[in-house]
Amino acid sequence: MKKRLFPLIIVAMLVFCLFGCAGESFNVKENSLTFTALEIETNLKEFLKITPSDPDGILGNRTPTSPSEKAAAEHIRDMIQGAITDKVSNATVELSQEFDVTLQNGKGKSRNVIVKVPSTNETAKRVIIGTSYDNLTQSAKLTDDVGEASTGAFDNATGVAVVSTLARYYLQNGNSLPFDLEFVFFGAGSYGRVGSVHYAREMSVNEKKDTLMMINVQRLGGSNLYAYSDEVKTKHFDLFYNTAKGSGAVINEVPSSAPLIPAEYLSGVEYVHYGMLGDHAPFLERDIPVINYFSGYIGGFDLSNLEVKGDKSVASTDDDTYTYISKHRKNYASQGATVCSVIVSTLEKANFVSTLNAQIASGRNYVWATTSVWAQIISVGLLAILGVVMIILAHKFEKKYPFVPKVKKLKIAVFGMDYEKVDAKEDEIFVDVKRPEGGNPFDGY
Amino acid sequence: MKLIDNKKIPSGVMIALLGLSFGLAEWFTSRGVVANLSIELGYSMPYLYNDIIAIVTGALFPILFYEVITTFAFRINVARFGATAVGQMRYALRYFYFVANLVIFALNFIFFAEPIASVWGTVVIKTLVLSVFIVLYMWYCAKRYLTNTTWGAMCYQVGGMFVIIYGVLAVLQIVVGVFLV
Repeated sequence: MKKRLFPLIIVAMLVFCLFGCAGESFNVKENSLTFTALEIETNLKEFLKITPSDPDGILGNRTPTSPSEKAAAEHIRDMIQGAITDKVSNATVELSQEFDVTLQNGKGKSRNVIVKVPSTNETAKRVIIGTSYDNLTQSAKLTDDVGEASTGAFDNATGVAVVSTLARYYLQNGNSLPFDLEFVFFGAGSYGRVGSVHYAREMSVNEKKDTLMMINVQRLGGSNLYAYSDEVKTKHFDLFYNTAKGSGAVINEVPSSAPLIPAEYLSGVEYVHYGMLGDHAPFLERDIPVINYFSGYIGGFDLSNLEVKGDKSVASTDDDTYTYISKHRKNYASQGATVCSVIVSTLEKANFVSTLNAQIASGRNYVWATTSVWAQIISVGLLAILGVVMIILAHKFEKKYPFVPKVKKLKIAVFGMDYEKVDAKEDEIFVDVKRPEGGNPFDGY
Repeated sequence: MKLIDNKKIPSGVMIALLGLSFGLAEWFTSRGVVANLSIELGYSMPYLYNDIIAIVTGALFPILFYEVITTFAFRINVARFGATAVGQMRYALRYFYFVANLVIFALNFIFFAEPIASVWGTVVIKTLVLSVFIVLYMWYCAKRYLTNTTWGAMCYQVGGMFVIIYGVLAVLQIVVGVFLV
């Protein structure tokens, strides 16, 4: 019985791991959404400059620091500027942040596009909604975007489509929320998230204090839509989660069975998982609450950053084109509409500001648990204690059971067979030296 | 215990089982390493990035390290404890490590429920469990294979070797973590 029990426990634990830790999710039939999939699709096509004669668009691959990345930033600015209405006449769209990107062969320039939609109420508080607009394939040579097939449709034109849809929504309808809105399109996001790091670094102390949260959207169209806020449960995650649940949207928590990569991406956390990756990380590091919306397939036995179960991943490859995602990542538009609806509904919640203020007050108080140096020191301490115990035990045993060596005398029997004598003692060992054939053993002496 | 004393499982099979147990014990860490490889190398080889590969890669280095270290460690003790006793001790150690690894593997499931606990957990749990099992192992060997006059020497040799090897590894990790990262 016991022999059967052990394998059963192992199987039960595996099942628990693969299915039990799959993260909380809800899958309710589609409900009324403020945004439609068509809006997302239209905005994505507009961003990539897709025409019937250019099914993948003419925007280029947007490799960080390349001319096409710069052209993409200007294109986003022009796209959004066209949506400004009288309701938000004080809104601004700027290419206000240009920054250096250190490359293997020198330095290049990239830029963030910032869209500010002030509230109709006088307030200093703000919410940042961001995404990166560049694209980097593994074969790409930085600053050289000629001949690259990829147009970064999945990673991350889908994110741009969602954030530009939201920006246009508020520019057209006005911002009556009790805080300002800032839509930021980060450059060089795929190259060490340089744009978002630069943006977060440039924030003044007051700006940081007045930022209620940052929302990041990226890589839509995968099997499941995920939301990530932090390594521990957060108040604002629950708010977004419950809003989504209430509207019948399908959004999952990042499963706790996601592989933990032993590296430091977020300062103070000595592991990385797929929910952490993105332009929200520099804000989270600065104690600004975040939500990261992304899609993929986390689960089963696959450990890669899979987009769709049973299909190759196209991010950072030459296949990341509109032609491909329109066939194999069709979900991107409906997922984008869901994300837009959930964001707008949550921002309108009466308890949004108070929830975020409470979250900011609690801070990231878990960093002691996600840094290993003290655990290592404790481990060395445990080993030292074990070593001391071993020394004490060894002394005790040596004292109690002393080692008495058996001394044996060595005798060489040459003359006569001494060892045959009757009174030979037990501790005497005799070695018989045989006389060589036909010779005297003492010849030569 | 007769299983160990009578050497019912051939050493080769036991080494394979021990390797598997190392793979399971290291599984949680090595699946992160495999996931990192998928990011670094791209998705051109999707068959490489799964839990089976994580267990196999998690097994290879530790079992090689274990066998090399124990071969030398026991060989230098032949004169002290006798060849027969050392042979038995070496065979028995694989069983103790096998069970300790399975316990570590089982405890790793805590991290699936609470990933934040993994940073401390992977370090402290491993040290604690292995320390307990090495003490049990020494007690077992003392009772079965060694005369009481060699117990003191065993504490020095086996306990000391364990403390030194794992201590050096832990100190190295601290140095790498604090000074090099």
